[in-house]
Amino acid sequence: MNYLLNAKNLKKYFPVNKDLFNKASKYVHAVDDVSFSVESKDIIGIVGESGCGKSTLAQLIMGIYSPTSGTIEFEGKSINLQNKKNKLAYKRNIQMVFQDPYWSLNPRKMARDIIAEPMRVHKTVNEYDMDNEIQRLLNMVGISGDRMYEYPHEFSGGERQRIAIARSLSLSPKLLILDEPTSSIDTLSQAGILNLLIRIRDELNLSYLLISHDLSVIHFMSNKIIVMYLGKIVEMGDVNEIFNNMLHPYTKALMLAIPSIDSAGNIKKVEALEGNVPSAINLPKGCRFNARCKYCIDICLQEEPTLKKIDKNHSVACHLY
Amino acid sequence: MVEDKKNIIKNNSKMFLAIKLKNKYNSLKTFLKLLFTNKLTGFAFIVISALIIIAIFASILAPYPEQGLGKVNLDEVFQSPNAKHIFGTDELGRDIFSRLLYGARISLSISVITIVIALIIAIPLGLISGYYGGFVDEIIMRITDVFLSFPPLLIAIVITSFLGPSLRNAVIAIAIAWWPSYARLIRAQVISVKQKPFISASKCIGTSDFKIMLTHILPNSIAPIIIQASMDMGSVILTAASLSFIGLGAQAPEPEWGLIISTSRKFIMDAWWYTVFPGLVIFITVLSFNLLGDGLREVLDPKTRVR
Amino acid sequence: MGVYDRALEIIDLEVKAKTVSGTAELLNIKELILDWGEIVGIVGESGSGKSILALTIMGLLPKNVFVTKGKILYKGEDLLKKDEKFMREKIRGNEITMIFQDPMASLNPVFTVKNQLSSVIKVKNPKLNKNEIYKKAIEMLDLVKLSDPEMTMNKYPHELSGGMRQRVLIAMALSAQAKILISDEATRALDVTIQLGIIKLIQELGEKFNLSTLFISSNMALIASVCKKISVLYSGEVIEKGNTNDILKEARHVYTKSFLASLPTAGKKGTVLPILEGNYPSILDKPKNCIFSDRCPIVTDECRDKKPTLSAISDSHSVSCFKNLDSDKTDKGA
Repeated sequence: MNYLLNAKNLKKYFPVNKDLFNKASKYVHAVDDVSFSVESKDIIGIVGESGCGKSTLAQLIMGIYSPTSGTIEFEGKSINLQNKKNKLAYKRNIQMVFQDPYWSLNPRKMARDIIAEPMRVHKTVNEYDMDNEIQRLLNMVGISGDRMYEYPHEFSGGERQRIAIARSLSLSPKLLILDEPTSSIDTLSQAGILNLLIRIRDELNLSYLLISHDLSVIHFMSNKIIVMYLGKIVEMGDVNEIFNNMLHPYTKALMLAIPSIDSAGNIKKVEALEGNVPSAINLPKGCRFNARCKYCIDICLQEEPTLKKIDKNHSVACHLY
Repeated sequence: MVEDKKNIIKNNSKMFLAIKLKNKYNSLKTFLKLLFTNKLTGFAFIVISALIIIAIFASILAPYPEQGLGKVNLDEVFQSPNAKHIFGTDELGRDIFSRLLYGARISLSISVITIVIALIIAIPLGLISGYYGGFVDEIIMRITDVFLSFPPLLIAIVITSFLGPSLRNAVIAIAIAWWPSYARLIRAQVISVKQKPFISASKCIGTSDFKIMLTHILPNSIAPIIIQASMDMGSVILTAASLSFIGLGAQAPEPEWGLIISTSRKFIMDAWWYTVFPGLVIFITVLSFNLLGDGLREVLDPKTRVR
Repeated sequence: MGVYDRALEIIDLEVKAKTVSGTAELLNIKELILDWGEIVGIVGESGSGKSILALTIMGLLPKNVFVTKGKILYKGEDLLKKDEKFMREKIRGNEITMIFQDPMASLNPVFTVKNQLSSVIKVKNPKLNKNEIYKKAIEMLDLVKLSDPEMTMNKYPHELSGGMRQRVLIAMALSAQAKILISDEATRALDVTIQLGIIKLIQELGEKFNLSTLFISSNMALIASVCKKISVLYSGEVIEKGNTNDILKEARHVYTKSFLASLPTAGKKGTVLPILEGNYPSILDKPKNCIFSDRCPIVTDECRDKKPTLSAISDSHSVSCFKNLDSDKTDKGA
């Protein structure tokens, strides 16, 4: 199998309570032993409460942090981010779209300069072709090319996010990390952005890692889902498999807690998930979810479950299965 | 073919420049409109514009240009304000009005040059300090702490007494006394701007730190510095006047405002106009700069701006 | 409470703003009614004026924004005629309380929860002694389901999580014996799981204390699961209102239909989401007469010449559109 990206046993611990000699006594286990792979044209949805490590995971893959241990393979080659040249080449393949379109674009730059920045840094397009290239990118995301001389505040929230997408596409990446791409824009603009993302995925053969807390967006977009809790993957698999046959108690509780409306206008019944996420510094013994779990049994308090394959496209980390 | 390409690039960049200029013109128009919505700010803006014009055209506007520069006219000493000399004359018969006009030139250039020097020192240090943080930040900030623990006037006095009393040295001294507060301001601003997602976006792209600082952070942290600088213009004029007043700044016969007041104090009992008019001019100038600074704060603060 | 049938009645409200580029029309609401113990949802995108509506009721409009006409009746009195002192002492934070997206903004960072809560209780119950006030405060925190009230009491706002802060604010509103709660995107910044806890709490309090809530949000799914009635706000005007089921299943206005159709759901997977063309109108340059006429795919000359009014199509459901009698329900979306 040819994977686009293969993350193996990724760990990222952030030290806290540094002492005089810069030695940490405690660690935040932001990402703890996470393995997954992305195939070409995959849209992988990552869900979880805040503090579950999904943003850190994105930043690890983006190369903003280097992992405490574990490896990231891109197109079969292991990534060494210590080498500056490698890092720059790697960044060309993976780009990110941020949550907040109001602050992810420099307010003092024209759309033209914002989109040109990656191409200037990587010198992929010369100034002669720049205007054409920008026009092409803007048209691709559905904005008229002659608006390239406008500033971010002249665009609506949805349009700004389109510009951010155009910027991320300017280096022809293979993987886009979408960090809550529609959570701070309006519903009607959201639909446009989602359509756009699907369209360019098909046109450009892209893969996405889609981080979102809106399950209907994840369900609509992705073909695979990763559910994270306290730095670990608790359930992972094919989207239909997960939504029709969710196994982990946390996945079930999370799905129940999120209000949604179906196409016929029926409101889903919701039920609150009690309790708070425990601190990622002092992890509970055994299963990380045991304090909030309705089905907790003795072994859950003693032993941490590992991710087991239940079906061809479905894995879960729970002692019940 | 190559020529063609070059021409097209040239044309493109020309058009780009034209659009940029047009945008700048438009934003200047809105800026002025906003500035004049507050009457006090508008007033301050007019006073300062007038001062700048006076400073530039002092030689044309002054009724007695030579006297303004120091030519003695012993026939007309200590004349009280009259039609010929509207602000009166001094102990050497020089027209005080002309001298004040020439003084505007000195005072304004002192304040501009001083603040520019202070910013040249402060901006790079503040950017580095705020952007990198850690050890570098610690060192730079402790240096500013040392400077900030003395009153700026005192530092300026010490430095000028080292370098020797002259206008040039006064400028250097004030700039040295002044940069730490800017460095701190810039650092604080940089720290808040660097957390914005567009900085992370640039990092994801692979833009170098230097470029990020120059093209993303600086333009977005400059507004409070402009506000502070415009308010400080007044204080610098005052400090320069104070230095001249105690004899460490401008030297006679330079028509520096502080120096004029300093000389006048011997005659305050006999010639009130000699002290009062220069004092008024300093007062109005400093007040205007402060009002303008306040107004700029309102205009440049994105919260008060209409989207 | 029974003396007045309605908790809050907004009649013919018009709010305008003065900007550098001219006068902008922010709100034009013919009628909006909140009954006792009821939760009414206001759904609208950014720019619909939903936050301005909340601020108008609270009497907290920015300097350049004015109410040009209309009434906001609370207990039979017009709040717009009251002076600042009355609003501050009698209404704001007492009878009518508001919770925002950022709860930190409404809590004083230098006082503990105990301090802030006790002072509210003391104003309302001047005869209580220290111990009784403390007991009452604990009771209030218990009421909003904070897990460890004793511990929470001694904490400063910054030591609490976002969800806990919102709960503390609601506890303060209850201690002040508030009758009306206005929630302006109060759960937006919270985690999905926490969000649900807060809205469940608001629902419960409505039943228990007859607390009426104006629930403002842009999240239709959230509003639909909390509120019995929904008003759809578009560019400062209520263009459709009705019971939740009326809106979700039998929406009549093209905007509401498009809004619902554009929600991504599992059933639409693999399809292209229908999109409403055009941009949200600028507050400085709104279309004349029907506010939606510039984006409406079924617009006629009538819409541009005459202003449609909110007219009833059933007991609970009204819509502001000339075509509201079209019973063509298959035409979902634009």
